[in-house]
Amino acid sequence: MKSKTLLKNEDAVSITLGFILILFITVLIFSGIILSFYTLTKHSQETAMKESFDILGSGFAARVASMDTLVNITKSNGGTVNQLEYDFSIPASIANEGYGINVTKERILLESENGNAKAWIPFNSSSNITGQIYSNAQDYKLSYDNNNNSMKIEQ
Amino acid sequence: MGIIKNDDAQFMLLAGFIIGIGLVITTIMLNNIIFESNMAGEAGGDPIKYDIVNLMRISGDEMKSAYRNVTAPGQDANLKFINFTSQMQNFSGNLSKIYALHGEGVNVGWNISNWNNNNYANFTDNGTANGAANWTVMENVKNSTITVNISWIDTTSPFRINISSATKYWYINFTYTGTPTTITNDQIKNNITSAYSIAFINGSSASGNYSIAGNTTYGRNFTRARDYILNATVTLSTSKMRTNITIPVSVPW
Repeated sequence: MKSKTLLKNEDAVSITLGFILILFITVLIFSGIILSFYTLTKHSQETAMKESFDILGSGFAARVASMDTLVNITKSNGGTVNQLEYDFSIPASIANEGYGINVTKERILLESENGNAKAWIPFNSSSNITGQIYSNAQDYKLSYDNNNNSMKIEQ
Repeated sequence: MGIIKNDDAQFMLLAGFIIGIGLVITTIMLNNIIFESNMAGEAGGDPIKYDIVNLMRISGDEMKSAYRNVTAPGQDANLKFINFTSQMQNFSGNLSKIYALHGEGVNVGWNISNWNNNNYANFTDNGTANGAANWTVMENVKNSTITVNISWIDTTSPFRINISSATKYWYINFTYTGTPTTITNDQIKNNITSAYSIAFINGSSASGNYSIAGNTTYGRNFTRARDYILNATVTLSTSKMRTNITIPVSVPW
């Protein structure tokens, strides 16, 4: 009987204070949700860039490996590679960021403009290959030069 | 006052919870959508190289076949070039149609000037001067007859045929040109027991043609022979790549 009276007792209840408290808590919760959403978005962008760099770099490495294989098969048969060219395109931006691709004989390094996302793709080419390309131009040509036993990347 | 005093707010609380859970779900879904939309679209390997290697192989095989057909006993020697060209043209035309069906432009060319001018090849593995000079022609041989005809030789490092078994070793040096040399099965058997392997040493120091016929310890007959080195040029082009490769083809085998 006493507890029922305690539960029904509303002497210390202030509607104004309750409203202010609830408003404050609501604002806090919503701010938290919005902030966490923003952080998640940023995190997703970086993860997406890294994933995309890996995919892009692996595709490029596959083409270089193909050319290398063809050149070596031809040479082992005593043949000559008169022409070997691959056209490839790269996206203008990945997750709204420009990026650069640096290629050497041993690895491909992809790096975003702001430097937040990087990806290394190791590979081993028997032909010399060196090049630096940027995403501001999308269409490139990978070609083999039989005279110098090297591969070139041209726009 | 009635509204203020009304504390029957279970439905409001329930609605609050539902909105809260909905917000969490929406946040997670949006996050996934943004992640997916940022992914790169294109990736994968490069299957075209298998087409090119296949093209090189079948073009070489067809040239060997065409050469064997036109030089077979009973064929008119005066028509050998015409017949060879005819078979290769037929092959090239059909091949272009087949490759065109899956989006690849293909052309096969051939150069028979070595055959036409009797320019013999080196005794290297692929017949070119830069090919491997020391190489094994055949292994696990039981019986064989070797015929070698040398058109040019550098006597400072003479061309040699090594015949070796697991325990014994025999070789023939070649120092003269012009006369075909035949090493019979009996000659080999007098010097070495089967199974043996046949290897060419200093193959870049001589040119000419050879023929080795016999059988192996597994009971299978074999022929290894080279009259000339012809050149096949294969071109393949797709929307993404272009290639033009010349390979030497040893004929007849």
